[in-house]
Formats: sequence, C-alpha cells, structure tokens
Amino acid sequence: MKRLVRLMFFLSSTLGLFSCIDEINLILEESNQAIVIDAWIGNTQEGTYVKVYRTSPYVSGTINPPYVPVSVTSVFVEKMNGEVINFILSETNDFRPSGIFDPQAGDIFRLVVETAEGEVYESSWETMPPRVEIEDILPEAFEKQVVITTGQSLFSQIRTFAAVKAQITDPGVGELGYLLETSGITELFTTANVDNCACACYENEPNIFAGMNVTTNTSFQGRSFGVSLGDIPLSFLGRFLVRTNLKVLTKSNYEYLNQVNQQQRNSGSIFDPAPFRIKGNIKKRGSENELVLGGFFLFQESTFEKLLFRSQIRNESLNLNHTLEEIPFVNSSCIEFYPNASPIVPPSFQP
Amino acid sequence: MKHIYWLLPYGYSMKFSFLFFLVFLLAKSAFSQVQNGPDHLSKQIEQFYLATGQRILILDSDASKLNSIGEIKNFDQLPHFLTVESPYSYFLFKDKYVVIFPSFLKESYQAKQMTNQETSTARSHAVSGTIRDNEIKTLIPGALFSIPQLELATITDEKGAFSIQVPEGTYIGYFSSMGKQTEQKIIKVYRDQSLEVTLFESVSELDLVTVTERAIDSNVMSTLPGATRMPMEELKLLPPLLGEVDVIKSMLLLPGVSTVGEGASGFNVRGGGVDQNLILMDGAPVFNPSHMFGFFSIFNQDAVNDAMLYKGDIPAQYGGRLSSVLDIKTQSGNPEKWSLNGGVGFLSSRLGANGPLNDKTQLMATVRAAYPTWVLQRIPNTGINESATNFLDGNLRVDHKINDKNSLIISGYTSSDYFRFGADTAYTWQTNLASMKWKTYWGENLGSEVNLTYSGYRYSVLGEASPLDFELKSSIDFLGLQQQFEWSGEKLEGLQFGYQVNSYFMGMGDLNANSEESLVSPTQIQDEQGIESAVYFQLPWKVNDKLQGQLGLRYSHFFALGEKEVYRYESGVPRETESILDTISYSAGELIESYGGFEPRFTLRYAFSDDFSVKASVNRSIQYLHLLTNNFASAPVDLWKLSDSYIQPQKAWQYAIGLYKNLNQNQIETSIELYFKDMSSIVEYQDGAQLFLNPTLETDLVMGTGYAYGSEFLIRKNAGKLNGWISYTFSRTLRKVDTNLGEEINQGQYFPANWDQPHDLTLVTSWQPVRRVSFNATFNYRTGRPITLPSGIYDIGGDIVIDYQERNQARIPDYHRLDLGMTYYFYQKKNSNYKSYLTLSFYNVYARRNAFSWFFQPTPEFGIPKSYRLAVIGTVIPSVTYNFSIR
Repeated sequence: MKRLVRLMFFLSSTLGLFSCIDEINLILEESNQAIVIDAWIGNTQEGTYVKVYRTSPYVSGTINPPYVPVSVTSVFVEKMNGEVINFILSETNDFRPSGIFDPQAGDIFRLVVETAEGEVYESSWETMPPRVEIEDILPEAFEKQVVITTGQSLFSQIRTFAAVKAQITDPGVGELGYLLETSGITELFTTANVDNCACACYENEPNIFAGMNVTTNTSFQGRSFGVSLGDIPLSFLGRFLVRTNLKVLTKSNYEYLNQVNQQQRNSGSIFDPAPFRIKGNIKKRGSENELVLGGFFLFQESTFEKLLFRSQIRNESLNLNHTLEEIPFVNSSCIEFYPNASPIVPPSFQP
Repeated sequence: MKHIYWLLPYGYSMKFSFLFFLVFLLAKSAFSQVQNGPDHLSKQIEQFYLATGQRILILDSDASKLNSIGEIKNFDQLPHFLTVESPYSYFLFKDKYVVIFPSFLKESYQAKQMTNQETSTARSHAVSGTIRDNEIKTLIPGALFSIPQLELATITDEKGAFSIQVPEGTYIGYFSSMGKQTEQKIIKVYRDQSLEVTLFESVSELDLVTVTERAIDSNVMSTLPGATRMPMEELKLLPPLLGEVDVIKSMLLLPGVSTVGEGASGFNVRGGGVDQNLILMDGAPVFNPSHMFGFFSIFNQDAVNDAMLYKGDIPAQYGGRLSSVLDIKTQSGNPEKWSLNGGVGFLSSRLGANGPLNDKTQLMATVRAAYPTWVLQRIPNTGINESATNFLDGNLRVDHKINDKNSLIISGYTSSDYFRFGADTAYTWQTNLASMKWKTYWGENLGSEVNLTYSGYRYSVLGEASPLDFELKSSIDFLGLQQQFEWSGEKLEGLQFGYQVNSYFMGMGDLNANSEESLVSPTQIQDEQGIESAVYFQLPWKVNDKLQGQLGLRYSHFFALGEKEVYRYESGVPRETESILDTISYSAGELIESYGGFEPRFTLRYAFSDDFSVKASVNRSIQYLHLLTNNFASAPVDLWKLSDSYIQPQKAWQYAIGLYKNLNQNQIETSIELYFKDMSSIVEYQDGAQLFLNPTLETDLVMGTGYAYGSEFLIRKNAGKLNGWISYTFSRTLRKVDTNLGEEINQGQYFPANWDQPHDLTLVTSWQPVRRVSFNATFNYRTGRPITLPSGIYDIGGDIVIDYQERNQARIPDYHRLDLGMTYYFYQKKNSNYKSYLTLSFYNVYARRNAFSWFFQPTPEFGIPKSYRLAVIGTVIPSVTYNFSIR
C-alpha cells in the first residue's frame, strides 16, 4: 500500500510538473488594418503626443510590429473655449504640439484628426484631471513561498520581500484613475580576491510591478492611500532605488486602460472574461459606427523617487525568516556575474 | 429477503488488450477463483437466451445447487439439464420466462391438493394488485408476479397492475422486476385479494450480471423522445474520474449533451446554455451542480438512486428552463436492515448509512469530503502551491409511511466549496437543498404529491490583498410549492395535473470590507424578487397499441416584484447611464413587470413493430431566470438574474423527431433523433460588459435571438459481457443580436455560441469477462469550441493592445480523450456482510493537452503578446478508490 501511495503521489505531482500552459506561436498574417489614434495630452512635453496609424497583423512574440502609416493632414486639440493647439509630425506616425502646451486641471479638450482621404476623427470632450503628488514611498517586509530552480530540480522555499507602496492623497474631486509606472535600480555586490575589484554594480529594473499598474480611486476618494508599486526581494545586500511616475487620469480613460490591463492579465481561465474589442472615445465624423481604435487620454503626471535600504527593512522586520543570497565571486568586476549591470554609481546612490 | 436476478445474456467475447499490467494481475487472480463457478452458469444462460429468447429467473441462493453442466450443444434443453434429477423444477411462462424453483414447493402443494380434493371442491379467486418501486408514484410495468407452486405467473401492465385467478390455498408469491430486490409474500387466497407491493432497489453490487430497471424496449415503446434514464447501477460501470462515479460526467456521454471543457460548470443540451437546464434533486432546483469546477458533481454516488434526463419533450410538470430537465432522485433507506457504505480515495472519501428507524421509517445519510490541497501544496509551482481547494457535502433522507395511503419523504442536502488560486483571491459557494414530499391517495383513482422545496445558493469572491481585502457576496433563495395529481380511472387514465408556485429572492451583490483595516467602501446592488407560477396538465393518449402519445399544456406567469428602484431610460437611444431620465421606486411586493405564456408539449409515437418506432415532439418553454456570464465558460460565482422591465424571459420552441429500432431481441438499441430549436428571445452580454456590482446591469445586456439544430445517432448494446454505446451528434447553435439601438454584436449577424461544437463522438464500453473484474473505457471526440482571435495589434501609451475579431469566429483545436477504468470486486464469503471493491481509473490516458482556451499575454521584451494554450488537464490522472459496504 505504501508503494501505491508513493506511486499516486508521484503521479499527482507529475500533474503539476507537466505545465498545462504551452506557447503556441500563433501567426495571423491578415490584419483588419483598422485606424488607431493613440493620443496623450498632459503636463509633460515628452508625454504629450498623438500617434496615428493602422493596426499590424498578430504574430506571436514579434518585436517592433510594423504599423501601417496613415497620411494625415491635420492634428489638433480643441479647447472648449475655442482655442486650438496644433500638432505637427515629429517622426513616423508621431505628432507633437507645435508650441508650448501647458494644459491645466479642469480644462476641457477634444482631439481632431483629419486624414489625407478627408476623413475626420474626433474624440469626445474630456476634462483634464488634477495633479496628485506622491507623498512618500514605504516598504513593508513579508514572506512568500517561491520556487527555486537548482539544475534540473525544483523546490519551494520561503523568502522575504518588501512590498513597496506609494502614499498618495486623493483630492476628492470625483472618480479618477491612477496609472503608475515604477522602475528601479538595484545595487548588486560581488566579491573577489583582488584589491581593485569593481565589486559593486547597478542594474536597471524597468518595471517592478508585474504588468500595467492602473487603479481607481473608488475606494479612497478624498483619503490618503497606499498604492502598491510592486515587490523587491530582500535576499540581496544592496540598496534599491524606486522611481515612480504617477499619471492621474479621467474616469473614462481609467476604464479604457483597465480593460487593457484585464486583457493583458487574461490567463484563459474560467474566471477570465472572453476577449473582446476595446472601444475608446474617438469616432469618425459622419460614420459613428465605423471602427476606430485607441483613445484620447488626458493626464497630469508627477514623479517621485526614493532609495530603499534593504538592511534597514530587514532590521525592522526581524520576526521574519530573512535569508541572503550568497555573494558571487568574480575576478575583478561585478559585471562578470551581472552582465546587464553597470559599475557606474548612479547619482541617487552617491553619498 | 432473498434475491432473484434477471439473468441477461452475455455478449460475444472480444479480445481487448489493456496497457496496464496491474489489471492483468488482478484479472488473472479473479479468473483462477471463479472457474466453473456462477460465471460458467451465466454463460450457459446467455447462450440459452440467444438460442431461445427466453429469460431464466432463478434465486441466487439456488444457482449453486443446480446441476453442473459441461459443454452442451443444444441449449434449448438447458433448463431441463439444470434441473433433471435435482431438487429443482422449472416452468415456462408465455414462452418468455423460465422460472426455476425448488421442487418441494410444488410437491407439498400437490400433496395438499390431493388431501383437500377428498374433502372440498377447489375454488379460485382473483388476485390483483400493483407493483411499485420505492417511489410510491412510480409503477413498474413488466414486473413479474409468480407462484411457483402453481407454475403460474403474470406480468404487470403499463400501469404496474396485474390480475390473475388463483385457486384457493396458501402460496409463496414472488414479485420481481429488473434491478429490484425480489419480494416474497405468503398469500392466503380464500377470497379476492388486492395487493400493493413495493419493490426496493437491488443492493447487490456483485450480481452475476448487470441489472437494469429500464423496460428492455423502453427506448422504442416509451412515448417520450429524448428521455434517458440512468440508474446508479449503470453509472457505476463507467470509468470514475478522480475515484467518483459522477452523474453529470455520465450525462455528458449521451448524445446531445456536451460541455465546453474541463473545469466548466454545468453542461449544455441541444444548443442550450448551462442555465437552460433544470437540475432537480428530489424536486429542489440546483443552481450549480459542480464541485471543484466540474471535476466532481454535487451528486454523491451513494446517495443517488437514478437520474432522468429529458432533453426532447419535457413533461408539463417541469418548467422554467428551455433545454432540459435532469431529475435526480436520491435513494431511500433500506427497510429491512442497516447498511454502511463508502469509499476512501486519495483526493476524496465518502461514507453513507441507511436502514430502518422502525417498520415505517427509513433513513439514508451520506457525507463526502474532498481534500486535494495536500497534493497542491507539494507541487513546486508558486501558483499551484499557494492554491487550496476543498469541499464537503452531505445528504439526508427520511422516508416515512404514515399509513397505506399516505407517505412522507424528507430530503436534505448541504455543501460547501472553497477554492483559492494563488495567494490573493478565493471563491466560496454553498448549496443548501431541502424538500418535503407528501404522497397520498384520494380514493381509488386519484393520487397526489405535494412537494415543498427550498434551494439556497450562496457564492462569494474573497479578495485577500490588504488593505483592499473584500468579500463580494451574491445569493439565491428559492422556495417552491408544487402539487400534482394523477388520475387512474378508466376515463382519462394517466391524467396528471397540478400547480406550481416558486418564489425567488436574488442577492445581486454585496461588497463589504473583509477586515477593519480594509479601505474598501461597502457597495450594495439592489436585490431582486419574483414569483413564478404555473398550472399544467399532461394526458397520455392512445389510439391503439401502435399510435400513442402525450399531450401537455402548461401556463406559466412571472411577476417581478419590488422593493426596487428602476431606472427609466430615454427612448430611441442606446441604454447608457447617460440616458437615464429618472428613477421609479417600487415598494415591497409591488408589481414591477409581469410576463406569461402558454407552453404546449405534444409527443407522438407510432410503433411499426415491437422493436421499431418513430416519435415526434413539439414543445415550447419559457425561462424567467438567467445566468449572466461573459467568461470563457460559466463559473460557480456567475450571477443569476430574474427577468425585469428590461430583461424579457427567454423563450424557445423545440421540434424533434426520431427513429428507434432495436435489434437482436432488444439487446441492441439504435436511434436517430433530429431536432430544431428556435429561441426567439435570449440574453446576451455586450463587449466589455461589467456584470458584477453594476447598478445599471441592463446597459450591459442585450436581448437576441438564436436557433439550434442537430442530429443524434446512438447504437447501444445493453447486455452481455461487453456492452456500451456509440453516439454521434452533429449540432449547431447560433445567436444573433440585431438592435437598432447601440452596438450590434458581430455586426448584427449570427455568431456561434460558446458551446457550439458541431461534431461530438462518444464511445462507451464496459467489459466484464469474469464476475469479479470489470473494465471500462470511454472515448470522446468533439470539435473545438468557438473562440475570438486577434484581428490586429496596436499600441496605447507603450502597451501593446490586441484588437479582437467579431465574437467567436474561430475555434480552438478539437478535443479528444480516452479514459480507462477497472473495478475489482474482492473475494468474500457467500453470506458475508462485508463487501468491497477497488476502482482504478486513468483519466486522459494518452495525456492529451486538450485546449480549454487560447490566450495572449505580454512579453518582457514589450513585443506582441505571445499566444498560449491553456489545458486544464494536460496529463493522465490516475485515481484509486476503495469502496465498501457493510450490512
């Protein structure tokens, strides 16, 4: 019987080891070539642009999809009071404001795009949201079971992480959305037998939040709130720089991006909605039912960064079972072990 | 009480090789122990049946005492060979049945007769009566009443009644029917006798042969097309999934019944959605028949007596769903003695007990628990080892005979499910069912059945990520009253009529913080209430033996009631929150909207011969309750909604016709059924619909139309060592939402429903080469279900977005799967009170990764999202369960 139990356990475990998710490399060479208008208007020049093009075919995993250009005669943003801000072609498919454009919270805008074929696309009127500042970034240690790979074998182990949250206070002026983009730089240490070793290096972490980080203020209108920015592992010795951009969005813009977020998180399970076309706030004049993809987004952006000391976080959570990664041994430079890192000390890490 | 078994013929032997050696070892062991035993006799009886078409009836305790016959050529003489110069005799009844009985019964009778002849003149009296199964209202046609002393027998008619002239005297009468324990009664015939006999289910699982309670030609001669009855004894011959014999899984093997894939709750019948099936347990409606997303059903094999599926003509007593009725009856307790049964498996175990509380009352109770979490936690995968799932359920049934004309059945069921995938979100759901059925006779010809039912379904989503931890709760509370009368007088014989009143209270969603620290603001969506009522009648009609049918009519009416606030929208524009004009407040109990309609049901059967018939049916159904889902497949936490001012009832007409032909003395059934279903009103969701916590749900729902059609082919072998069936279904189900207001789905053109799977082939076989071992196998192939694929990709703020095609314009790869199973009955002494058997099964034997869905997720390189296939079960799943019963 014992052997039978072992056999059953082995077979049951095999069920988990045999992943039920496989990549299938789907290639759909035909595209509907629908027009796309991706327009972002906000309080930063680099973040303000209008892109006009047609969709690219779906080819699984392809980098830099070949969007089809659209010949455009004019792109402008119209203010409710009649003021017009023209956009000019900056690079392929990409239009930028022709002059200084400093939209203020409460201003009401709409986008108008006219193509060479004489088709006019216009958005609904949207109101510029208020700017919200991040007040602080706070880490909180916690334990999590992770799967460690050693050679051919897998095993589970408890490791400690810091949940990083941005503290913000919602202005309480109605329903808004928050889009957060958090990158970081992690400090990495190695060891060597030579005196002149460049044993510390710094590696960029482009996004510490898995996927799009968009949230609504429904639960905390007019209140102070901690928005999750992601987790950082505490099993390293070095410091971690958290850099966060916070975009405040209108309710309709949030709903659009939330649908994009749901689409990206779809895992095909029974709890996931069946896929569908995401519809934005831009329509073709005179032919309102014709397909127009994309949207007209208004935002107010703020930035905050903070250097987190992992040792301090560990000291404040001594009740947890902290374990440290072994420090890698190198000949003379950290980048021997961390090839994507740089030995140059970023300003935020300098004393 | 002894058992008499109907010995059905074995089929031709067939070479059939199985892969796993364990099976061979067990089989070899079993072979060695039963050589020249009852199996040998069964083979001979089988050959006798094949040669003569006559069935042999024999007590199992007598079987071993008959003459042992070696090889014989002339099987016509088998009864003679078995009884010659033995203490047994036999007699032939109507050239169909051979009853073998102890000779002394006849000899003692004859001796008495000799004595009595000298003193008195023999007179005869009428002995009449009915034979029923333990459900009082279910009469058994074709049951046998015999008196071996007299070599006298008769069978019951279609109403389960018999009548026969018997000479004065005292006799032992046998009452037998397939699948039932034989009742023996001492009958003193000194005046006309009227007998009421109730037969209980056969509790023997180790019979020489498989027993079935279906009339052998029921598929041809019954007047209901598309109706299938599956007793638990038959279901136990199918391969168990995860060690459990499952009613729902077994139903999926029937033609016209399908599912969108593993892990999906419910099933689809003839192009209908999962909400279009009325599932009843002892009369109480079940809103979610699944545990663990369909891997288990809520029906415990130890509690279920049988399952009846109506997918064609639905009798008028049932209503409220468009596609089918699955009527599950639980077992009553054994009236004679207590027994304990159960099973122990690696993932689930069950225990049941049943027996008499006194001479009028029986009890049946079962409990079952599944505990796969211990396996999940040992799997080195972060997503899986943080997951947890379990369920617990229990059945209780009490049968009480008040007097000869009144009886009461009280039945209850409760279950609780928990599922957490990963660390953040958990799902729970609970089902509570209760029913109280009072059966009574009002005089000679009128009987009635009052059924008071309750069904409660509560389901929650638990968000466990602080500080936004929450609980989102929804619920259904159903209370129903149904009274049905049945008339058995000469005129309008078989008339059934009655009324039904159902009350619904729907909790449409309450969001609450799950801890004091949670920042979630409580949100409550308005509850819904409604009453559904109906009156109906159903009348069997008969022109002659060949042409028969049933005529039914049901009128149902639904009242959507307050308390509720209803938004009024601007007319002529799409319903959106922006087009709300004002709000109308309805007080508690105030009528908001009502709908009603007639639901005629008509069936016709013409029998060309005893084994060949054609049947046709037409019926209309109205459904006032809708399951809202915009997922890949329906989930246990999907929202149910009543019809209201904006959501009209779903309506459908179904037309079906079928040809039924039995071969080889009813051993082989064949049938072809064609159907067309016209759904003039159905509920669909708009793209991007938000179904939970949506106070303006009507803005995300649209009414559409649809139709489904198909043809179902079945070849079934019912008897023999090797039996089973092959079924093939071709079907389509298409829907259309064509509205002048708002956005159309698929540009107003027809699109396939999520469960549109045109080709569906099923093979089911069961092979019992020897008494103690049986093997079974099922194979299923079906077209991949429809999905929506990308039509292009684009970029929004640096994130690549997929633009999807119109709804359901592509398909995932076809599905096919083979399951194998084996049951080994452990050796036990003849009169042992302990019986046990082991089931070993392999689900998805060749480990095919059948796609449940395709999905697309972004890559770390920020390229086009990659495409993936999700196979809910991607490997072979073995299971072993040890089952036992103690009497």
